[in-house]
Amino acid sequence: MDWQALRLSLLLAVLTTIILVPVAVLAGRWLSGARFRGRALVEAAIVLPLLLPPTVIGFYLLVAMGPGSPIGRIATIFFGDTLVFSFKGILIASILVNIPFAVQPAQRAFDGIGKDLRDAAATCGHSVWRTFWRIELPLAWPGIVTGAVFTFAHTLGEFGVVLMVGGSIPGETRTIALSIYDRVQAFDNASAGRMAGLLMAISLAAVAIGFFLAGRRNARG
Amino acid sequence: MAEGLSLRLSQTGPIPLDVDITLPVGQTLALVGPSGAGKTTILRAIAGLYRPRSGHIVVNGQTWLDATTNLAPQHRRVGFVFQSYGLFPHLTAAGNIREAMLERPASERAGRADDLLAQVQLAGLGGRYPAQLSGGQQQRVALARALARDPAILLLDEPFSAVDHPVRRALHAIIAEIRGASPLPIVFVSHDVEDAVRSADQLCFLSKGRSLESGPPRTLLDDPNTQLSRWMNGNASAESD
Repeated sequence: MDWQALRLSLLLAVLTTIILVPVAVLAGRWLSGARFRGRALVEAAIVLPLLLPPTVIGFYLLVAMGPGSPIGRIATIFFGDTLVFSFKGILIASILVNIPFAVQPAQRAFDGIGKDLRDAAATCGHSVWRTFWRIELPLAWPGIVTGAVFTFAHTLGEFGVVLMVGGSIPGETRTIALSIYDRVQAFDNASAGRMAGLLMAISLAAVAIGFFLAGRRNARG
Repeated sequence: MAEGLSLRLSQTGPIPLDVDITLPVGQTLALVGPSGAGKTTILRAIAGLYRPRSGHIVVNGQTWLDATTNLAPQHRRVGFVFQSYGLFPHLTAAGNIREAMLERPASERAGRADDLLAQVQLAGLGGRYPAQLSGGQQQRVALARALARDPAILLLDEPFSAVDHPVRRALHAIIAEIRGASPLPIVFVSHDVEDAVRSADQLCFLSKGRSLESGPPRTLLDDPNTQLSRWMNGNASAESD
């Protein structure tokens, strides 16, 4: 069992979720209410990571964050190194790849809030921000939780993009999914099986807890 | 007119409007007309949820809308009962009512919510969520919430349309009680003239966004030459066909 890889995967999944969920809430709310030219293009761009092969996304990120790129040069100034083959790099990649998993459920949840409720809040004297905090956010909560759980579970299992951007450096970029692959390559099926089983159990538990929390809110609403 | 509602709305599209309404405090006005007559649009314009191209809305001497002013709904003191009630499903009945009391000290809100629930004959049901209430009860919670803001005007969108006869009778009684207790102008939308006769002092008959005639409901109905009477007879003959 590669505990170091498991710890790194869990840290990556937790950080990705913590960073992405607030962004997804704001983006989901904005997309739900906004009517503008090019909206379809924005929504398509959000879904794109679901459709593209991880190697394609990984390739573009590798180029975008490499030492010759503007992002790579800025990262070198701030961190003393480029972002590729580093934990920071796979964290950025993970956040970008998981955008559709977090944003789409949040957006659908905000879409489901009737216009009458927003109008009712306005006639109760609520400002736009108060309506967001008191009415919209609690009602969209099941969708937001679902998005958070999908992000967490998907990050735990992410393979291609992490491999392309981070390589497989022990303690830095080797996640449990990469470790399983390494073990299989080394014909160590017993170790790979243990890690695969544990990864599946953690993902199942995370999704079940998420659905339970989302379901409780739905039942009351 | 200093106290009450003075309204003039005018536009050719997208929803045609040509309406002139004056309603003193303590009186109730029914907006009656066929579907698409612009009844709900007028309510939404009073509440600030719809902005007409031109016109003015003055309530109790305060201008809510004219060529240079357009107060946001948050700054218009309206109580609005939506046709779908618009209750917040994640809050209890009492919680819904407290949401409309932002300007009241927090310590007073719970007691005031209980008083309002009692006023709409829902005492003891404040802890229930909307999904745990019947349609008629939900409507009364919406009415209590509309009153919670101490509104300058009360607006009700089709309050009698989706309720059965006993609930309808109870609602007429509650509206009569509100009229007695609070000196408010009340405007409600209805497609049923009988509701106007029972609960309104004035009736404004609308068609395609225009106010065709207005006056006491019984007076308009008893005159066979009014457009309201002709519309009623047309409806009756259509129903008997």
